[in-house]
Amino acid sequence: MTTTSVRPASARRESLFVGALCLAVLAASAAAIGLHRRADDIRSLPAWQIDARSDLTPGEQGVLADLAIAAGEIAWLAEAGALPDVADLAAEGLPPFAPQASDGLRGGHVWSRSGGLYLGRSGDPRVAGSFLMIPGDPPAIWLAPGTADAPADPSQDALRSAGWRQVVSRYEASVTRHDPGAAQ
Amino acid sequence: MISRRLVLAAPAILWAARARAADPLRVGVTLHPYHSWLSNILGPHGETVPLIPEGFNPHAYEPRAEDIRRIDRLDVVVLNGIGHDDFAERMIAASSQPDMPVIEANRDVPLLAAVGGLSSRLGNNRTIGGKVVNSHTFLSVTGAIQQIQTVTRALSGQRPDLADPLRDNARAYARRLRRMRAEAMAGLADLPAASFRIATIHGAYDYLLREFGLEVTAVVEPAHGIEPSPSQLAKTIAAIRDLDVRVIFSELDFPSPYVATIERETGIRLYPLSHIIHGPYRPDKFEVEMAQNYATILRAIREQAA
Repeated sequence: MTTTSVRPASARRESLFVGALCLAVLAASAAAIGLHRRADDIRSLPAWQIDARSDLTPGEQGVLADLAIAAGEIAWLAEAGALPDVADLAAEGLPPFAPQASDGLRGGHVWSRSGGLYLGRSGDPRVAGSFLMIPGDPPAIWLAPGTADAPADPSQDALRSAGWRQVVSRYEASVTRHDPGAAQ
Repeated sequence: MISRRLVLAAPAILWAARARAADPLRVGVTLHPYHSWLSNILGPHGETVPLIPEGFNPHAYEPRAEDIRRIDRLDVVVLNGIGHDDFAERMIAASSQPDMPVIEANRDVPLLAAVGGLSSRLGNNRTIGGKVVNSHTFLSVTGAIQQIQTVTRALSGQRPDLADPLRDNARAYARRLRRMRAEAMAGLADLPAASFRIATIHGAYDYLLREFGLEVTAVVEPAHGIEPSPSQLAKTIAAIRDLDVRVIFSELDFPSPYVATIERETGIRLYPLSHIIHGPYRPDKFEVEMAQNYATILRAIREQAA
C-alpha cells in the first residue's frame, strides 16, 4: 500500500515565513536604532541645583528674571566703585529691589545686602522661597524654601549644607537651530 | 553637551582682524524688537540691518537670494536662537560669510516652557514639556533688558573702543523700559489680584503676562504659527468652554477668520496684543507697541475685575 502525505490546503508555512521575516526586519531595525541613538543633550542636574524652567513656581520665575537683570546692572554699577546698596538699586527703579505692584504675587520679598550678598527673604513661602544673589561673572542665584536668613559663610559647600540650592538656566536645552559648529 | 559657537570664541579673531576700530558696527537682526534694541544700543556707533524685509511674517519666512546678500556686509548677527529665527542659520550658511560671528541673545534669559495648545488637552499627545521652550522672550521688558545686557556685553567685548558708549546707551534704554513697565504696573495697584483663566491664540505672551502675575492656561494654535483645522477648531471651542477661560488674547496684526468664530461661539471677549513683528522697522517700535500691550492687559484685568 502506498501512503501519500497531502498537506492541508493552507498557507501556514508561508505565514510562518512571512512572520519570521517581519520579526527579523523589526529586530534589525531595533538594533540599527539602538546603535545610532544620539546622547541626550540635556544633562541631569546634581541634587544641590534646581532648574529655572521646570522647578520654580511662577512667582519664583518672575523674581529670578528680575534678579538676572539686576545682576547685570550691579556689575556695571560696581565698575564705577563698590557694590550698590539695596536702596541705591531701588532708586535706580531696578526690580526686584524697587517696589512693584506685582510684589505680593511673587512672594513679597524683603531685600537686604549683607557684605557681597543680596538676600531676598520671602514674605510668603507658599508663593516663593527666599533668594540669595552673589554678584560676579557669572552671578550665582540660590534659592531656599521658607524664610531663610543670610548665610554666615557664602561658600558653595556651606550654602548646600544649609539647604540652599543653586538656580541654573540650561541654555543648551533650548536652542532649536542646528549649529554646524556644535559637537555631536 | 553641545558647545556653541559664540562671538567670544574663535570667530572673534576673524572679526577683530576684519573690523577696523573706527568703523561703525553693522549688526544684522531677524525680528523687529531686536532692531529696536540694537538701534538704541548702537546709537550713532553702528547700523542695524534687518535680515527680513518689511511685510514678511517670520513665522512663514523663507530666505530669498537678495536677503542673503544683505549678510555680506555685516559684522555680526544677533539671534533669538530658541525657535523664532531658525531661518537665519541657513541664510548665514548660504552667504559669502558662513563663519559670521553670532550673538545668542537669549543665552542668559531664564526661559519658560512652552504652554501646550488646547489640542494637547484633547488627547493628541503633543509633547510640550522638556526641551520645548517658549521663544517669545522679546515680548516682555524683563526678557528684553536681559537680552540687551547680553548683546551689549558681547559687542563691547569685540569692540572695546565702543564699550563705554554702548554700555551707557544700553543702561539708559533699559532704564526707560523699566520706567515704562513700572508705570504700567502702577495701574494694578487699585485692582484686586487677577485670578481668571487666560487663553492666547498664539503662544507668544507667556513672558509678558508673567510680569503681571498671570499665567496662560492654554494656547489655541496647535503648533507655533499653525492654524487649527476645522475639527480642531470645534474641539478648541468646546475646550475653551470646559476650561472656564474668561479672557483670550489675540493677534493685533495677523487677524484670522477662525478667531472671529471662536469669539462668536464662546462669547468670550478678545483682547488683541501686538507680536511686534509687523510693519516698518523703527527704533521706538518696541517701546510704543509694548506700552500698547501693557495698556491692553490692564484693560482686560480691569474689565474682569468689574
